[in-house]
Formats: sequence, structure tokens, C-alpha cells
Amino acid sequence: MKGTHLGEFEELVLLIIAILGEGAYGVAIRDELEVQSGRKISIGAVHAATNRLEDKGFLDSKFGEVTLERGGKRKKFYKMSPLGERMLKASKDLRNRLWSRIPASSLSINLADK
Amino acid sequence: MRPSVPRLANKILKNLCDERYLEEVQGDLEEIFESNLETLGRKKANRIYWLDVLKHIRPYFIKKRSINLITQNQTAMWAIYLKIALRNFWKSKVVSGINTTGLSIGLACCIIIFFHIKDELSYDTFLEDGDSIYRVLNINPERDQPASAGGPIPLGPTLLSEFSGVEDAVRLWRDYQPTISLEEKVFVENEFLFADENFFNMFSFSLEQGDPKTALSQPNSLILTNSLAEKYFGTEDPMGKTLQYDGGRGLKQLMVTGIMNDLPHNTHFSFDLLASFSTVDDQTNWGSYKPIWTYITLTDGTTPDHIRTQFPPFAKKYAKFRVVEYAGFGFDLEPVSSIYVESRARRNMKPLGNLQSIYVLAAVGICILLIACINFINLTMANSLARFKEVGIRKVMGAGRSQLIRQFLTESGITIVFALGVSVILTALFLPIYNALSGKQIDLIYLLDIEFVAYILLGLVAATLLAGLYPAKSIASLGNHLVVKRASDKVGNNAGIRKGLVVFQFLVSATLIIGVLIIDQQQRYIFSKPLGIDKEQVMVVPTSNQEGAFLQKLYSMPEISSVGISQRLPVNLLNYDGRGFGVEGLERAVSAQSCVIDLDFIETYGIEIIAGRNHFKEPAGTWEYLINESAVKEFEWGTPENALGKKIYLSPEHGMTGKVIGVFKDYHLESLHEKIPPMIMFKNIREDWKGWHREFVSLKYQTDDLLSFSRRIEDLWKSHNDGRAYFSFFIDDSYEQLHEADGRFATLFNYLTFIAMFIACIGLLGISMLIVNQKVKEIGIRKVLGASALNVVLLFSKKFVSLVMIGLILACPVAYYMTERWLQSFSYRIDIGFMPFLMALFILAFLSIVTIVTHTAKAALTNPAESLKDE
Repeated sequence: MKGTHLGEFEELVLLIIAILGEGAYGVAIRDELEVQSGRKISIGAVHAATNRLEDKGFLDSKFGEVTLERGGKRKKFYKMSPLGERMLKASKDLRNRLWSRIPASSLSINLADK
Repeated sequence: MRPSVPRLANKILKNLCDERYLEEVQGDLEEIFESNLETLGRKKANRIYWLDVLKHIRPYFIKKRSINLITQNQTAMWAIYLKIALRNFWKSKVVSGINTTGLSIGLACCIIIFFHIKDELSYDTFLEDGDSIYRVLNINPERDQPASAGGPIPLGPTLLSEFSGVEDAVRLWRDYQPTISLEEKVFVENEFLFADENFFNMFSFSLEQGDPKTALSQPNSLILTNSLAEKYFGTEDPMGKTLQYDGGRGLKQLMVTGIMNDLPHNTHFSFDLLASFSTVDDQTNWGSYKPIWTYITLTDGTTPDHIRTQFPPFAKKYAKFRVVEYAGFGFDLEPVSSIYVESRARRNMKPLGNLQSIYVLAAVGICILLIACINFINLTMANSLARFKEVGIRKVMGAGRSQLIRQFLTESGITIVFALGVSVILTALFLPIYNALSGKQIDLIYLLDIEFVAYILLGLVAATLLAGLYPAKSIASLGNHLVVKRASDKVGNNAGIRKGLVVFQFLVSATLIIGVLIIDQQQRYIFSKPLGIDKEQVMVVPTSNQEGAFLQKLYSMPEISSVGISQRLPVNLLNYDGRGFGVEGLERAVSAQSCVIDLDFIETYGIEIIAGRNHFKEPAGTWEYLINESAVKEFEWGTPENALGKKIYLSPEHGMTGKVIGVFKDYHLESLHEKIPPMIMFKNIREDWKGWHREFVSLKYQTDDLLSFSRRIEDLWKSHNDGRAYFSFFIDDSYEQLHEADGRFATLFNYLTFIAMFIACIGLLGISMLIVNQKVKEIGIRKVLGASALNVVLLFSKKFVSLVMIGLILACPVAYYMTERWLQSFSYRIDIGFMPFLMALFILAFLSIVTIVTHTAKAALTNPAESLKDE
């Protein structure tokens, strides 16, 4: 088993896939990522992340139907696996724990605004 | 139709990307491409697609190739390839013979040419800071003509004192053939220079004995090269001894203050003796151009262009030649390190090389190698017919395409390595001959040069691939069915390429032949062109102290028909005296080569007078001038008759204003590359100026016993000149030297062309032989059906001869263009006519027919019963 570590970019991709639900395939993931994060993201990076996540078992995938679009190539749709959900949850818990430990006085922004 | 994704990028992706990810990646990329196509347009979409593909080239996506292949025993296979290659090499002896002969000769030519070019490019590279030393050139800003390297006497010191940015200046002045003597040892020295004292400071020549700082600081100091020191002093120590000098600066005793090594051959300098410049008395004359070379170095941070901008006002200041301003007076700079190959200036210390001939040689060398490679390709292709079965069996047994290519490449490699070995031996054998032909000194030791070995290895790989890859690939890619079947149809396809290659070979050969013929024509033109003077049977001796008595004795000799005295001789390069002056009817000043003459100079050299008279009216006390046709044109005086009586202000401050009394026909005094310059001759009528230039006595003689005649002249001269050194030479020898370089180039070119032609012919021989061998049965059947031997010969020759002719026709424009370029370097040249082209046609047709027919005829004369008995 390849490591179970979840990188920052991988986490983002996982979240986006969760948001997209049924329609999560390469281009859609990239577009949504760009919209949400406001960064320019190359499709290659997305492919690398999704395939790696699949190798780690955080994602499941299935191919769609052949259409006239995309030069006849099928789309590869991703879905979060239960293991992926748990990883995401663990990651969120960790963050929340850390956030809650930060004393209010050491931050210049007001957390309460959130 | 919608434009599709960039094909190449897609192909790269397909090749590199692992199957597992391919469909997803391709699909996504294509979707992005499609949407970009609508919004951004084709170009941008393409670019983004390319970028995306490139971004996918990362280890993660790249195919994991199976590593099985590497575990197969390749070394064993290489051993087999080698064995088979060697067997085949010995089996087809004729083909291997032709291949190795052609390739080894071709390679040997290339090796020698490589050395030649390397040597040419090595000139003056040994000089330290050669890039920052500049030679000052004389140019004529008014018109487009080659610069001259010689300049006025005070140029160097004046540049140093008046220019900002000039660090140092050195002058070298060639003295024309002074006699140097030590008691009984008397020699005429061709390589005598006066040099400024800082010579060794600027140029990194070192002194073996003597102090480089002071050796040239005193007047009458002399530095000898080793071989000269040995010539005069043998084993004695020459330092501090004196030699007598009798030359253009009078009679002087020079003391040896230094000994230096002989100059290396690869320098544009040429001297055996260096005397201090301060030995020269008169150093102020601006109006006269002499064989004086001026070199300067610049201070740090000064660019040559900075110096160049200072030239025009400087030239204006010093160009006030007597009456009128002389606008044709200007200067330029060129770096010393590039003089030998790049300088176009005239009047150099010794003949220079030129880039053009380097290019020509390189091109010819490469062409010869190409011809040899084409032989190789053609013969391998034709010969492979016999090996189709072998290839077929190999394929059936499971040999892959790459394995077959490897095998055929090994075979080419073997031939080429073998040829390379032979070529090194050939080089060793022919280098001495080459050195004699070209006047170079290329040492065999160069063969061990690291750079050379590197080039050779590179060339080896290149030649193997160039000559071997095409046949190897085309044989290896034949389909199995074709291979086992008789595969002549497939070979028929290749014949097109083969024909193309033969045409190319003969295009090159024909170009070279036409080149040879035209160069030869020009060469003959050079030696047959009337020079305008009669150089036969003229002997030159020094002037005598007791002139009257000496001359009287000469006149009394029955062998001598006329005697002339002159400052310069009609044929020589570095004894010139160019002057700027004013003439009647012209606002601007003109320049001309001047020469002081006396007695019957004009008759002695048979110079034709076309207007006026050649006799100076003595003793009228007026200056009288003879000018040549070119001068009439230059001075804008119209016809020669019109020029008579016109005034020339040669040197008004010395009272040298006088009239033209005659016009003589142009004669050549330099090589035919140079235009005949305007010339002016006059007699010195001032007794007190007798010593201001050196003079020669020319004798026109008629004798059957030259030896005794010249001995009598020598005795006569010596009896009038105690203690002076005697010399004599014949004027026709000097003329040959002017075209030595051209002669060498022509010989070299002749040999190379012969070699190219030879290689092309043996190639043709080989290929016609192979073709005829394949068609033995066809010939048999034709004969049975009633064809005569002649029919058969014609049938087979026709094809090849037509190829050769196509080559020739294509060669005509190429050859015309190239020879025309070459001829343009001559001011006097032939026009290219039809003859060389017709001759080349004849030669090529003859050679190719002889080559082809000899073999075809043998086949055609065979009894058909013989050739068909197996069927």
C-alpha cells in the first residue's frame, strides 16, 4: 500500500470531487478547482492527483459512455471511497482541533466573523 | 471538418503515456482543446494542447517498458554480426575493393585537406594578443579598390603622437634585395626589413641572444635569424660582428645585436634580417607609399572604430600634396590575427591565403567523400540483391528489423574502419608529395593530434551512418514475402534513388572537370598574355661606382645591345614607390607608381612608345615625364597624343614640375589579379640627388655562352667596385614567382578532380557490373531472339550514359557560377566560352562509355548457351 498521507492539493481535489458528486471527471474537476481557488491549474496536475488518490484507495472510478465529444474517448468519473471520506474527516478534525487551540489574542483577525 | 488536435503532440502522448491513463488524459485534453478552439482560436488551442501534453511527461504517466530485451544476450549477437560482416567483406571482393578504394582515397583527401585548412587557420595564432594588434591599411576613400598594406614613412610615429587611444606603433620597411656581405660571402637577401625598436615589445617573438629592448635601438643594428647567422658566420658567435649592407639606403656597416629563431611558417611576417629603423636617414616623406607596414596596438578600452573615426581629419591634414588636396588618401585597420586568411589588401610581406580557396578546398574534399559514400550506398544496394534470401531466412528465424539494421551497419562499419586504416597509410605516403605541391609543411605528427583523432572518430560514426543506414534500413524493411520471393520488383523501386545518386556523382565530377578546364585556360592565359615588356635575355646587375667607365666598357661588348638604368625593375612586387601629385587640368590630386630611369631603359625592356618620344632631351635642365596609358586615363587627358606636353606637378617644392614627352603602352608589373596602375617615369636631372634611391643596371644581351658572358660581366663590375658586393639575376625568373600561388591552386585542384573522377568511375564500373551480372539471362534470351552484341551493349550503356549526361547538364550552371566567381579575382582574365563545357562532355562521355562498355561487352559476347544452360 502506498502511503496514506493526504497532500494539500490532493485534499482540495478530494473536496471538489465530493462537491461535484456524479459529474466529477478531469476537466470538470479542473474547472471547479479554478473557480473555487482562483488559481490557474493545469490538467496534468489534476490527472496526477486523481490517479494518485485512486492508487491510495481514496477514490473509486468508472468510465462513462462513448460519445461524439472528446474524440470518442470516454470520461473517467471519480467518486470518493469510504476510505477517502474517513481521511477527509480525519484531516478536518485535526484542523478543527488545532484551530480551537489557538488563543484568540494571537490572531489579528476576528475568528468570530467566520 | 473540425480541426483535430495537433497530430505530433498526440503521437508523442500516445507513445509515452501509459495505457492505464491514456484514454482519460487524451479525452480530457481533447475536450479542453475543443472548448479552446471555440473561444481562443486554432493557434492558441494548439499551443495549449502542446503545453498540456508536455506537462504530462512526468515519471508517473510514462509507460513502464518491459525490460526483457536487455536480458537477451546481445554481446553474442554482436560477435555473430562481426563474423558475418567479415565473411561478406571477403566474399564480394570486387564490391569491397571498390568501396575501400573509393572510401580510403576519399578519406585521405579529406584528412589532407583538413590539415591544410587547419594550417591555414593557424597563421599568426601564436602571437600573443594578436587580436589587439592592428595593421594600418591605405585605402582610397574615393573609389572602391583593394586596400594596400604599404604606407608612408612617418605614419607610425605620427599616429602614436597625434591619436588618442594608440598605445604603440611599429613600422617594418622592406628593403628590396640588398646585398649583404661578409668578406668573401656575398648574398642578395630577399627578406630584409627595417624595424622600429619596439618591435619585440609588440610582437611576441623572442631573441635567442641579445636584449630585445635595446637590440634595435641604435642605428646600424642588425638582428639575424638562426639560419642566416649560420650562413654568414658558421659556428662562430655573430654577436657584435659587422656585416656590410649595400641596398636602397646606400652602403652601411651593420652590427649584429641579436639572434632570433627562424620564423615559423605560419605567419604573415616574412624576414630573415631585421635592421633598426633608425638606420634609415630620411623619415619625413608623406607623399610616397613604400613597402612599409605599420602596426599599432590600442590602449585598454579603445575600439578600432574609435581610431577609424580619427582617420579622415588626420588624412586631410597630411594629404596636402603640393598643389591640390588629395582626397584619395585614407586609412583603415585590420587585426593581425586575421590578416592571413581574411585580408584583401595588396602588397603584403608574402602572399596571403584566402577564405575563398579554403572554402573551395573544403567543398571539393567533402564532394570527394560524398562520391565515395554514394558508391558505397549504390554498391551495397545493388549487391544486396544476392542477399535477399539470407535476409528472408533471418526474418523467418525471428530476426527483428533493428537486428538486421545492426547487422548491416556492422558490415558498413567494417568496410569504413578498414578504409580508414588504408587512408591513414595513404595520407602518410602522400603527405610529402602534397607538401611539395602546396608549399606547406604538414608533419605526419599531426595524425596524433587529439583534435584530429576526435574528428576522425566523429567522421567514422558519421560515415557509417551516412553510407550504411540507408541500405541497411531499406533491406531490413523488406516484407518477408518479398524477401523469400525474387525481390527484383522492390529493387526496381530503389533504382530511382540509385539513379539520382549516380546523377549527383557525375554532377560533381562534371563541375570539377569544367572547373579544371577553365582554371587551366586562365593559367595558360596568364603565362601567354603579352606583358607589354620583353623579359627574355635581360640581366640585372648593381650600379657601379665608376659609372662612366663601367658603362663604356659595357657598351663596347658586342653581346650587349642596350643598357638601361632604373630605380625599380619592371617585374616585382615589393619595390614600389607610389606617389600622390597634381596634374594639369585636374582639381584633384592623382596617384601613380613612379620610377626613375636612365639610358635606354625603354629599349632594353622593349616597352612600346605609342605617342611622343622616349628620349630625354639632355641637358635642358627641365623635368620630362613618360607616362603609361592607364595614367592617361587616370589623369583624364583623353588620347595619348593629347597628353603630350601636359604639365605634371610631381614635386613643385623641389622644382620637379615638368611636361609629358611620351606615352608608353601599359605593361604588367604585378600578377594578373591586379590592375595595371598608372605609372610615371622620369630621369633624375639633379646630380646632387644621385644617392636618394637605389638603381639597377639592366643589360639586354645576345649570347650563346651565357656562363662566360655573366662571368665577364662580373669581373668587369668588380674591377670598378672595390669592396662592394656583386649580384646578378635574370628578370624572367621573377615573373614566374608572381603566379606561384595560382599555379599551386591549379595543380591541387587538378589532382583532386582527377581523384573525384576516378572514384566516380570505379563506382560506375562496379554498379554496371552488378547490374549486368543480374541480367546475364536477359542478355542470353535477347541474343537467342536475334539481338546482336552491339544491340545489347547499346541497350545497357544507354541508361548509364544518359544518367551521366543529365549530371553534366546540371553541372553546367553550377560550374559556370563557381568559375566565374574565381575569375573575378583576376583583373585580366579569360571569358568563359563553350569549349570547356564541350570538352567536359567529351571527356565524361568517353570515360563513362569506356567504363560501362568494357564490362557490358563481355556479357554481350558470351554465348547464350553458356548463360542459359541452368534453365
